[in-house]
Amino acid sequence: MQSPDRREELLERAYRRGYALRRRRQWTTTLATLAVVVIVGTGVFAVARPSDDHTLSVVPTTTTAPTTCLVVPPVTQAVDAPRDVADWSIGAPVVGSAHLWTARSALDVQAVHDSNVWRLKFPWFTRLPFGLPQIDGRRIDGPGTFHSDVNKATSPDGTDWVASSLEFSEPGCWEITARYYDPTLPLTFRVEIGAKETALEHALRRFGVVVNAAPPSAVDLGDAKFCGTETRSVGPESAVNEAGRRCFREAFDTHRPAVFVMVEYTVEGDPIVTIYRSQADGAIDKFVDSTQDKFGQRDWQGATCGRLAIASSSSSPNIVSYGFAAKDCSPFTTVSG
Amino acid sequence: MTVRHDESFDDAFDGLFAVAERVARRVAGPSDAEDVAAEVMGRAFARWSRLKSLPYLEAWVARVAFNEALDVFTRNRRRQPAGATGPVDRDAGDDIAMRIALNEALAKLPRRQREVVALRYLADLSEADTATTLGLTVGSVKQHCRRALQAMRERLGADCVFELEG
Repeated sequence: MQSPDRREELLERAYRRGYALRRRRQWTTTLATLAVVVIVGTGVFAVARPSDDHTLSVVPTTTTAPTTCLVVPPVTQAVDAPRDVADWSIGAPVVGSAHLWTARSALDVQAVHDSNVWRLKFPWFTRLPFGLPQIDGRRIDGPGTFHSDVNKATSPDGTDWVASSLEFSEPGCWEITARYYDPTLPLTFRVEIGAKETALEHALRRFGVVVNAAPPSAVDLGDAKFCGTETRSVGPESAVNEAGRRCFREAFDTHRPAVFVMVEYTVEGDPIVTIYRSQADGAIDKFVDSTQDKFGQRDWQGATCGRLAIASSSSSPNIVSYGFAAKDCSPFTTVSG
Repeated sequence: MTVRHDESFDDAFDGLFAVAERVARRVAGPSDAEDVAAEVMGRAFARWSRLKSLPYLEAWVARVAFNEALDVFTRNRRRQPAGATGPVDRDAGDDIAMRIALNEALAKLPRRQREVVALRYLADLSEADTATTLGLTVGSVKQHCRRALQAMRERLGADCVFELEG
């Protein structure tokens, strides 16, 4: 062990880091991937400062609505991002380059319909020198007007970032372009505003699944009943969703379509999402999304299973397969989105 | 200005720091081990109210240290210019080369095997503690271990894996 002085220094460092993480956790949601977005919504830490407003009118276009609106810039995992960007995103994946970044999960958040406009709280991170980005929006599939309200915000640990409120006059497919520091490097993406989301899609997004890029056979709820989700991790976060398991088992027993989602985390903290679907013909379809596993195959795999093995009890609630061991399965094959 | 201390964390600090530093030293190298361990202890304190009663507290620290050290190691490697050679002595160079090879081979293992190897050989946990931590039986731990070491021997040769085991 170190000298007493060095030991005190390291202990002090651990306390400071621990308190900083605690403070950070207090004003975030339990889902790290959505934390930044929710923080913007609260606006608690926004520092009073004149806002920077932009309004843009859009000329109606004849462009037909694209089948898939969401266009995501290349995603950067936190480990590959600049350290200040990764710290700001609390380890969640980000999109952006050079001086302007945002959280990948922010693109999945749905706008709120309020007083005839759709509002979306949206976070940005501008690297030093700090400043406010200029944000423009245009609707791709029809007319509409866009308005942005941009403010400086400060995290409890002293990090400056940008809280913005984006307002859309109409639902539809919108292209957002933000510029900061170097106008030749804009950050552009498309989001669906006012889209209806199923409970399954909502749940999958919470676990970082890019629903629009997933196989429809896995993520389209259709007329199936959504029985819920269950998370597995080492430690006290694990919880068996008994109601969800019962719902799924009953659906399977009675040949009714139902969906149950299980999520486990790798040692690196990457979610692996497994979707169980019971079909009307008594079969079980099993889909595994490893696209977020840095050391996995990073694809969707699917198999069809003939029966569901039921365990009578479990002395170890951490064993996720309790009650849901799908048997007589076909070999797993890659399923494309 | 000093921060408010927690007596139970103060008491556990030395033992847990030693576990984190040991794992970090083996994965990231001696120069980064202390920084990694300090970061891990910060994370531990952030969750201390729940962690302190865990029966596998040391295993938790070891897992977090392994992840953090692997991140640091990967980042450092990326920053190194390709083909760069420095005035390192032969032993140090061999040590770094060995660590690179081991980490790369570890990263290629299936997830469960990788977890088992990390806990058994980097954190020096017993088979029973590894099993408890991962929610496996001792038999499964042995099986994963055997397969993992076999795969690594095929990739690296017996001498290199001996370094891991030794």
